[in-house]
Amino acid sequence: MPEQFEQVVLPHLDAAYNLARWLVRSPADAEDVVQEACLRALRFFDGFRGGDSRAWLLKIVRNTCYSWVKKNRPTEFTEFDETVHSSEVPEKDAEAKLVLHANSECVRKALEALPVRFREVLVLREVEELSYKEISDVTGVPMGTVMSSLSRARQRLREELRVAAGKGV
Amino acid sequence: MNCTLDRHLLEGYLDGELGFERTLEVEAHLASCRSCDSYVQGWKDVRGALQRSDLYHRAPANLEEKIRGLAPRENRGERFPWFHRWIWAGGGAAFATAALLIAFVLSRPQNSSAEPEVVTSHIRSLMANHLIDVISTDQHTVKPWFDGKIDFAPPVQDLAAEGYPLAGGRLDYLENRTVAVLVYHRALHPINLYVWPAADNGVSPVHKQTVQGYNVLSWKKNGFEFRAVSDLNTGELGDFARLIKP
Repeated sequence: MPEQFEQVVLPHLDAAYNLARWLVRSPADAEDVVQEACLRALRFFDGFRGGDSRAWLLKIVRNTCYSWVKKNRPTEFTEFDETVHSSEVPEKDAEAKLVLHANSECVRKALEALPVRFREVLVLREVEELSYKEISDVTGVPMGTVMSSLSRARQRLREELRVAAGKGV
Repeated sequence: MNCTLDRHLLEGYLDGELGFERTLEVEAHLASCRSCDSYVQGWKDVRGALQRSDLYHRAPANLEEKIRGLAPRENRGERFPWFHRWIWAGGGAAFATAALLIAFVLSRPQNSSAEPEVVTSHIRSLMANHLIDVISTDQHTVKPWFDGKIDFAPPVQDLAAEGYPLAGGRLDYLENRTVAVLVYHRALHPINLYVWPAADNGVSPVHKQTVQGYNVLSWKKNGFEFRAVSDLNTGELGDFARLIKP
Protein backbone atom coordinates (compact mmCIF):
# COMPACT_ATOMS: atom_id res chain seq x y z
CA MET A 1 0.00 0.00 0.00
CA PRO A 2 2.67 2.65 0.86
CA GLU A 3 4.58 1.83 -2.34
CA GLN A 4 1.37 2.11 -4.34
CA PHE A 5 0.59 5.39 -2.66
CA GLU A 6 4.02 6.73 -3.57
CA GLN A 7 3.60 5.61 -7.17
CA VAL A 8 0.33 7.47 -7.43
CA VAL A 9 1.35 10.65 -5.60
CA LEU A 10 5.06 11.27 -6.17
CA PRO A 11 4.99 11.68 -9.98
CA HIS A 12 2.54 14.56 -9.52
CA LEU A 13 4.39 16.28 -6.70
CA ASP A 14 5.55 19.17 -8.90
CA ALA A 15 2.00 19.77 -10.13
CA ALA A 16 0.73 19.62 -6.55
CA TYR A 17 3.36 22.03 -5.28
CA ASN A 18 2.96 24.43 -8.20
CA LEU A 19 -0.79 24.65 -7.64
CA ALA A 20 -0.35 25.14 -3.89
CA ARG A 21 2.37 27.72 -4.46
CA TRP A 22 0.11 29.78 -6.72
CA LEU A 23 -2.86 29.48 -4.39
CA VAL A 24 -1.20 30.29 -1.05
CA ARG A 25 1.59 32.43 -2.58
CA SER A 26 4.36 31.50 -0.13
CA PRO A 27 6.96 28.72 -0.48
CA ALA A 28 6.89 27.65 3.17
CA ASP A 29 3.09 27.62 3.35
CA ALA A 30 2.84 25.79 0.03
CA GLU A 31 5.13 23.08 1.37
CA ASP A 32 3.02 22.72 4.53
CA VAL A 33 -0.17 22.59 2.51
CA VAL A 34 1.19 19.90 0.16
CA GLN A 35 2.29 17.79 3.12
CA GLU A 36 -1.09 18.19 4.75
CA ALA A 37 -2.77 17.31 1.44
CA CYS A 38 -0.64 14.18 1.06
CA LEU A 39 -1.59 13.11 4.57
CA ARG A 40 -5.22 13.49 3.58
CA ALA A 41 -4.55 11.65 0.32
CA LEU A 42 -3.03 8.78 2.27
CA ARG A 43 -6.05 8.70 4.55
CA PHE A 44 -8.41 8.61 1.56
CA PHE A 45 -6.22 6.31 -0.50
CA ASP A 46 -8.56 3.37 0.02
CA GLY A 47 -11.18 5.40 -1.78
CA PHE A 48 -8.97 5.99 -4.81
CA ARG A 49 -10.30 3.69 -7.53
CA GLY A 50 -7.58 4.22 -10.09
CA GLY A 51 -8.14 6.56 -13.00
CA ASP A 52 -6.69 10.03 -13.18
CA SER A 53 -4.30 10.17 -10.24
CA ARG A 54 -3.15 13.70 -11.04
CA ALA A 55 -6.68 15.11 -10.93
CA TRP A 56 -7.35 13.11 -7.77
CA LEU A 57 -4.30 14.56 -6.02
CA LEU A 58 -4.86 18.09 -7.33
CA LYS A 59 -8.41 17.98 -5.99
CA ILE A 60 -7.14 17.18 -2.50
CA VAL A 61 -4.39 19.81 -2.75
CA ARG A 62 -6.91 22.36 -3.97
CA ASN A 63 -9.30 21.67 -1.09
CA THR A 64 -6.47 21.83 1.43
CA CYS A 65 -5.35 25.16 -0.04
CA TYR A 66 -8.88 26.52 0.23
CA SER A 67 -9.13 25.53 3.88
CA TRP A 68 -5.80 27.24 4.44
CA VAL A 69 -6.78 30.42 2.60
CA LYS A 70 -10.16 30.60 4.36
CA LYS A 71 -8.43 30.32 7.70
CA ASN A 72 -5.46 32.57 7.04
CA ARG A 73 -6.66 35.08 4.46
CA PRO A 74 -10.46 35.15 4.65
CA THR A 75 -10.63 38.46 2.78
CA GLU A 76 -9.49 36.79 -0.46
CA PHE A 77 -12.93 35.32 -0.99
CA THR A 78 -14.92 38.54 -0.52
CA GLU A 79 -12.81 40.17 -3.19
CA PHE A 80 -13.74 37.42 -5.61
CA ASP A 81 -17.48 37.58 -4.97
CA GLU A 82 -17.60 41.24 -5.92
CA THR A 83 -15.72 40.54 -9.10
CA VAL A 84 -17.77 37.60 -10.17
CA HIS A 85 -21.10 39.31 -9.67
CA SER A 86 -20.20 42.40 -11.66
CA SER A 87 -21.67 41.87 -15.08
CA GLU A 88 -19.89 44.19 -17.48
CA VAL A 89 -18.00 42.51 -20.28
CA PRO A 90 -15.58 44.85 -22.05
CA GLU A 91 -15.55 45.13 -25.79
CA LYS A 92 -13.50 42.54 -27.57
CA ASP A 93 -12.19 45.20 -29.92
CA ALA A 94 -10.87 47.29 -27.08
CA GLU A 95 -8.95 44.29 -25.80
CA ALA A 96 -7.67 43.40 -29.19
CA LYS A 97 -6.02 46.79 -29.55
CA LEU A 98 -4.03 46.16 -26.43
CA VAL A 99 -0.45 45.20 -26.97
CA LEU A 100 0.23 42.70 -24.25
CA HIS A 101 3.59 42.81 -22.61
CA ALA A 102 3.71 39.14 -21.94
CA ASN A 103 7.14 38.74 -20.42
CA SER A 104 7.42 36.29 -17.54
CA GLU A 105 7.95 38.85 -14.81
CA CYS A 106 4.88 40.90 -15.81
CA VAL A 107 2.76 37.79 -16.15
CA ARG A 108 3.93 36.47 -12.79
CA LYS A 109 3.01 39.74 -11.03
CA ALA A 110 -0.31 39.97 -12.87
CA LEU A 111 -1.24 36.39 -11.97
CA GLU A 112 -0.28 36.90 -8.34
CA ALA A 113 -2.50 39.95 -8.17
CA LEU A 114 -5.62 38.00 -9.17
CA PRO A 115 -8.18 36.61 -6.72
CA VAL A 116 -7.50 33.05 -5.66
CA ARG A 117 -10.26 31.46 -7.78
CA PHE A 118 -8.95 33.12 -10.91
CA ARG A 119 -5.38 32.08 -10.17
CA GLU A 120 -6.62 28.55 -9.63
CA VAL A 121 -8.50 28.23 -12.88
CA LEU A 122 -5.66 29.78 -14.90
CA VAL A 123 -3.01 27.51 -13.39
CA LEU A 124 -5.15 24.41 -13.95
CA ARG A 125 -6.00 25.32 -17.56
CA GLU A 126 -2.91 27.09 -18.87
CA VAL A 127 -0.11 25.48 -16.90
CA GLU A 128 -1.43 22.01 -16.05
CA GLU A 129 -3.49 21.96 -19.26
CA LEU A 130 -6.53 20.34 -17.72
CA SER A 131 -9.72 20.22 -19.79
CA TYR A 132 -12.91 21.99 -18.63
CA LYS A 133 -14.22 18.63 -17.47
CA GLU A 134 -11.08 17.90 -15.45
CA ILE A 135 -11.10 21.39 -13.91
CA SER A 136 -14.72 20.81 -12.98
CA ASP A 137 -13.74 17.53 -11.29
CA VAL A 138 -10.83 19.10 -9.42
CA THR A 139 -12.68 22.20 -8.24
CA GLY A 140 -16.12 20.63 -7.77
CA VAL A 141 -17.59 23.50 -9.79
CA PRO A 142 -19.98 22.87 -12.74
CA MET A 143 -18.54 23.05 -16.26
CA GLY A 144 -20.48 26.20 -17.16
CA THR A 145 -19.07 27.98 -14.12
CA VAL A 146 -15.58 26.78 -15.00
CA MET A 147 -15.96 28.39 -18.42
CA SER A 148 -17.23 31.69 -17.09
CA SER A 149 -14.58 31.85 -14.32
CA LEU A 150 -11.91 31.12 -16.89
CA SER A 151 -13.25 33.81 -19.16
CA ARG A 152 -13.28 36.37 -16.35
CA ALA A 153 -9.89 35.26 -15.12
CA ARG A 154 -8.42 35.88 -18.57
CA GLN A 155 -10.10 39.24 -18.74
CA ARG A 156 -8.68 40.22 -15.37
CA LEU A 157 -5.21 38.99 -16.27
CA ARG A 158 -5.33 41.08 -19.44
CA GLU A 159 -6.39 44.11 -17.41
CA GLU A 160 -3.50 43.58 -14.99
CA LEU A 161 -1.10 43.27 -17.89
CA ARG A 162 -2.49 46.41 -19.46
CA VAL A 163 -1.99 48.33 -16.20
CA ALA A 164 1.57 47.00 -16.01
CA ALA A 165 2.19 48.02 -19.62
CA GLY A 166 0.79 51.50 -18.87
CA LYS A 167 3.23 51.90 -16.02
CA GLY A 168 6.00 50.91 -18.37
CA VAL A 169 6.97 47.95 -16.17
CA MET B 1 -14.44 45.93 -36.46
CA ASN B 2 -18.09 45.23 -35.63
CA CYS B 3 -17.53 41.57 -35.02
CA THR B 4 -20.36 39.83 -33.25
CA LEU B 5 -18.69 36.48 -32.72
CA ASP B 6 -19.16 35.27 -29.14
CA ARG B 7 -15.95 35.59 -27.21
CA HIS B 8 -16.67 32.29 -25.47
CA LEU B 9 -16.36 30.60 -28.83
CA LEU B 10 -12.84 32.01 -29.19
CA GLU B 11 -11.99 30.77 -25.71
CA GLY B 12 -13.37 27.33 -26.47
CA TYR B 13 -11.20 27.39 -29.56
CA LEU B 14 -8.12 28.41 -27.56
CA ASP B 15 -8.82 25.61 -25.10
CA GLY B 16 -9.33 22.94 -27.73
CA GLU B 17 -12.84 22.35 -26.41
CA LEU B 18 -14.74 22.87 -29.66
CA GLY B 19 -15.64 19.96 -31.86
CA PHE B 20 -14.02 19.47 -35.23
CA GLU B 21 -16.59 21.39 -37.25
CA ARG B 22 -16.78 24.40 -34.97
CA THR B 23 -12.99 24.55 -34.84
CA LEU B 24 -12.96 24.80 -38.62
CA GLU B 25 -15.65 27.50 -38.49
CA VAL B 26 -13.64 29.55 -36.01
CA GLU B 27 -10.46 29.10 -38.05
CA ALA B 28 -12.29 30.34 -41.16
CA HIS B 29 -13.54 33.33 -39.19
CA LEU B 30 -10.08 34.13 -37.80
CA ALA B 31 -8.69 34.23 -41.31
CA SER B 32 -11.01 37.13 -42.14
CA CYS B 33 -11.45 38.95 -38.81
CA ARG B 34 -8.46 40.91 -37.54
CA SER B 35 -10.06 41.73 -34.23
CA CYS B 36 -10.71 38.11 -33.27
CA ASP B 37 -7.40 36.98 -34.69
CA SER B 38 -5.42 39.45 -32.59
CA TYR B 39 -7.47 38.42 -29.56
CA VAL B 40 -6.46 34.81 -30.10
CA GLN B 41 -2.83 35.63 -30.85
CA GLY B 42 -2.66 37.94 -27.83
CA TRP B 43 -3.79 35.18 -25.53
CA LYS B 44 -1.41 32.69 -27.09
CA ASP B 45 1.44 35.06 -26.14
CA VAL B 46 0.19 35.22 -22.56
CA ARG B 47 -0.16 31.44 -22.51
CA GLY B 48 3.41 31.11 -23.77
CA ALA B 49 4.60 33.27 -20.87
CA LEU B 50 2.47 31.32 -18.36
CA GLN B 51 4.01 28.07 -19.53
CA ARG B 52 7.60 29.23 -19.34
CA SER B 53 9.54 27.32 -16.79
CA ASP B 54 10.45 30.30 -14.62
CA LEU B 55 6.78 30.63 -13.67
CA TYR B 56 6.57 26.97 -12.70
CA HIS B 57 7.23 26.26 -9.05
CA ARG B 58 8.84 22.87 -8.84
CA ALA B 59 8.57 21.03 -5.55
CA PRO B 60 11.62 21.56 -3.32
CA ALA B 61 14.01 18.59 -3.32
CA ASN B 62 13.35 17.61 0.28
CA LEU B 63 9.57 17.57 -0.10
CA GLU B 64 9.58 14.18 -1.82
CA GLU B 65 11.49 12.69 1.11
CA LYS B 66 9.00 14.19 3.55
CA ILE B 67 6.10 12.68 1.59
CA ARG B 68 7.83 9.29 1.50
CA GLY B 69 8.16 9.58 5.26
CA LEU B 70 4.39 9.93 5.61
CA ALA B 71 3.40 6.55 4.25
CA PRO B 72 5.20 4.16 6.59
CA ARG B 73 4.16 6.06 9.71
CA GLU B 74 0.51 6.05 8.74
CA ASN B 75 0.28 2.68 7.08
CA ARG B 76 2.82 0.38 8.62
CA GLY B 77 2.09 1.58 12.13
CA GLU B 78 -0.72 0.45 14.39
CA ARG B 79 -3.39 1.71 12.03
CA PHE B 80 -3.53 -1.57 10.16
CA PRO B 81 -2.01 -4.23 12.45
CA TRP B 82 -4.59 -6.75 11.23
CA PHE B 83 -3.30 -6.32 7.71
CA HIS B 84 0.18 -7.53 8.63
CA ARG B 85 -1.07 -10.38 10.78
CA TRP B 86 -3.26 -11.49 7.92
CA ILE B 87 -0.36 -11.35 5.46
CA TRP B 88 1.94 -13.32 7.72
CA ALA B 89 -0.76 -15.83 8.59
CA GLY B 90 -0.51 -17.18 5.07
CA GLY B 91 -2.97 -14.85 3.43
CA GLY B 92 -0.13 -13.69 1.22
CA ALA B 93 -0.54 -16.55 -1.23
CA ALA B 94 -4.29 -16.03 -1.47
CA PHE B 95 -3.73 -12.32 -1.89
CA ALA B 96 -1.19 -12.85 -4.67
CA THR B 97 -3.50 -15.28 -6.48
CA ALA B 98 -6.37 -12.82 -6.24
CA ALA B 99 -4.14 -9.99 -7.50
CA LEU B 100 -2.99 -12.10 -10.43
CA LEU B 101 -6.57 -12.99 -11.30
CA ILE B 102 -7.62 -9.35 -11.14
CA ALA B 103 -4.63 -8.28 -13.22
CA PHE B 104 -5.48 -10.99 -15.75
CA VAL B 105 -9.14 -9.99 -15.97
CA LEU B 106 -8.26 -6.29 -16.22
CA SER B 107 -5.69 -6.77 -18.92
CA ARG B 108 -7.77 -9.07 -21.08
CA PRO B 109 -9.80 -6.55 -23.09
CA GLN B 110 -6.63 -4.83 -24.33
CA ASN B 111 -4.95 -6.12 -27.42
CA SER B 112 -1.55 -5.70 -25.84
CA SER B 113 -0.33 -6.03 -22.29
CA ALA B 114 2.43 -3.47 -22.78
CA GLU B 115 0.37 -0.39 -21.86
CA PRO B 116 0.37 -0.63 -18.05
CA GLU B 117 4.01 -1.74 -18.15
CA VAL B 118 4.89 1.22 -20.34
CA VAL B 119 3.21 3.58 -17.86
CA THR B 120 5.10 2.04 -14.94
CA SER B 121 8.28 2.49 -16.93
CA HIS B 122 7.35 6.10 -17.71
CA ILE B 123 6.70 6.85 -14.02
CA ARG B 124 9.94 5.15 -12.99
CA SER B 125 11.89 7.22 -15.51
CA LEU B 126 10.51 10.39 -13.92
CA MET B 127 10.95 9.27 -10.32
CA ALA B 128 14.42 7.83 -10.45
CA ASN B 129 15.96 10.75 -12.37
CA HIS B 130 16.73 8.30 -15.11
CA LEU B 131 14.89 9.97 -17.92
CA ILE B 132 17.83 10.32 -20.27
CA ASP B 133 21.09 8.42 -20.91
CA VAL B 134 22.26 10.52 -23.83
CA ILE B 135 21.36 14.17 -23.50
CA SER B 136 21.20 15.86 -26.84
CA THR B 137 18.79 17.84 -28.93
CA ASP B 138 20.62 16.69 -32.05
CA GLN B 139 19.16 13.67 -33.81
CA HIS B 140 22.59 12.96 -35.33
CA THR B 141 24.00 12.49 -31.83
CA VAL B 142 21.11 10.50 -30.41
CA LYS B 143 20.70 8.05 -33.28
CA PRO B 144 24.33 6.78 -33.38
CA TRP B 145 24.31 6.50 -29.58
CA PHE B 146 22.01 3.49 -29.93
CA ASP B 147 24.47 1.74 -32.30
CA GLY B 148 25.85 -1.42 -30.73
CA LYS B 149 23.56 -1.11 -27.73
CA ILE B 150 20.50 -2.56 -29.43
CA ASP B 151 19.96 -4.75 -32.49
CA PHE B 152 17.89 -2.20 -34.43
CA ALA B 153 18.16 1.43 -35.49
CA PRO B 154 15.23 3.41 -34.09
CA PRO B 155 13.90 6.33 -36.13
CA VAL B 156 15.11 9.55 -34.48
CA GLN B 157 13.92 12.97 -35.53
CA ASP B 158 14.00 16.35 -33.86
CA LEU B 159 10.57 17.98 -33.80
CA ALA B 160 11.64 21.29 -32.25
CA ALA B 161 10.19 23.24 -35.16
CA GLU B 162 6.83 21.60 -34.49
CA GLY B 163 7.02 22.38 -30.77
CA TYR B 164 8.26 19.01 -29.54
CA PRO B 165 12.01 19.38 -29.07
CA LEU B 166 14.08 16.22 -28.73
CA ALA B 167 15.75 16.03 -25.32
CA GLY B 168 17.68 12.77 -25.61
CA GLY B 169 17.36 9.00 -25.48
CA ARG B 170 17.88 6.02 -23.24
CA LEU B 171 17.59 2.26 -23.17
CA ASP B 172 14.77 0.60 -21.30
CA TYR B 173 13.35 -2.87 -20.87
CA LEU B 174 9.80 -3.65 -21.94
CA GLU B 175 7.87 -6.76 -23.01
CA ASN B 176 10.92 -8.93 -22.30
CA ARG B 177 13.24 -7.03 -24.59
CA THR B 178 15.48 -3.99 -24.68
CA VAL B 179 13.77 -1.04 -26.29
CA ALA B 180 14.87 2.41 -27.40
CA VAL B 181 13.28 5.38 -25.68
CA LEU B 182 13.35 8.83 -27.22
CA VAL B 183 12.58 11.66 -24.86
CA TYR B 184 10.77 14.74 -26.14
CA HIS B 185 9.34 17.77 -24.41
CA ARG B 186 6.19 19.75 -24.93
CA ALA B 187 6.32 22.87 -22.73
CA LEU B 188 6.80 21.30 -19.28
CA HIS B 189 5.61 17.83 -20.21
CA PRO B 190 8.15 15.09 -20.88
CA ILE B 191 7.13 12.56 -23.53
CA ASN B 192 8.65 9.09 -23.53
CA LEU B 193 8.51 7.49 -26.98
CA TYR B 194 9.21 3.74 -26.76
CA VAL B 195 10.31 2.09 -30.01
CA TRP B 196 11.06 -1.54 -30.79
CA PRO B 197 10.81 -3.78 -33.86
CA ALA B 198 7.32 -5.17 -34.48
CA ALA B 199 6.72 -8.90 -34.87
CA ASP B 200 5.41 -8.32 -38.39
CA ASN B 201 5.11 -5.61 -40.99
CA GLY B 202 1.46 -4.85 -40.28
CA VAL B 203 0.11 -1.39 -39.57
CA SER B 204 -2.06 -0.51 -36.56
CA PRO B 205 -3.70 2.90 -36.25
CA VAL B 206 -3.10 5.04 -33.18
CA HIS B 207 -4.89 3.60 -30.14
CA LYS B 208 -5.53 5.91 -27.18
CA GLN B 209 -5.64 4.89 -23.57
CA THR B 210 -5.44 6.60 -20.20
CA VAL B 211 -3.68 4.79 -17.38
CA GLN B 212 -3.29 6.41 -13.95
CA GLY B 213 -3.76 9.83 -15.46
CA TYR B 214 -1.15 9.31 -18.17
CA ASN B 215 -2.08 9.22 -21.79
CA VAL B 216 -0.72 6.30 -23.77
CA LEU B 217 -0.79 6.17 -27.55
CA SER B 218 0.11 2.89 -29.26
CA TRP B 219 0.61 2.29 -32.93
CA LYS B 220 2.55 0.14 -35.35
CA LYS B 221 4.10 1.37 -38.55
CA ASN B 222 6.94 0.43 -40.90
CA GLY B 223 7.98 -2.56 -38.83
CA PHE B 224 8.17 -0.70 -35.51
CA GLU B 225 5.98 -0.70 -32.42
CA PHE B 226 5.53 2.75 -30.88
CA ARG B 227 4.24 3.78 -27.47
CA ALA B 228 4.07 7.46 -26.56
CA VAL B 229 3.45 8.13 -22.86
CA SER B 230 2.99 11.52 -21.27
CA ASP B 231 0.86 13.62 -18.96
CA LEU B 232 0.34 15.85 -21.98
CA ASN B 233 -3.28 16.08 -23.19
CA THR B 234 -4.38 13.53 -25.81
CA GLY B 235 -4.87 16.20 -28.48
CA GLU B 236 -1.28 17.38 -28.48
CA LEU B 237 0.07 13.90 -27.86
CA GLY B 238 -1.93 12.80 -30.92
CA ASP B 239 -0.36 15.60 -32.97
CA PHE B 240 3.03 14.39 -31.78
CA ALA B 241 2.27 10.81 -32.84
CA ARG B 242 1.30 11.98 -36.32
CA LEU B 243 4.66 13.74 -36.67
CA ILE B 244 6.68 10.57 -36.06
CA LYS B 245 7.74 9.19 -39.43
CA PRO B 246 10.00 6.19 -39.55
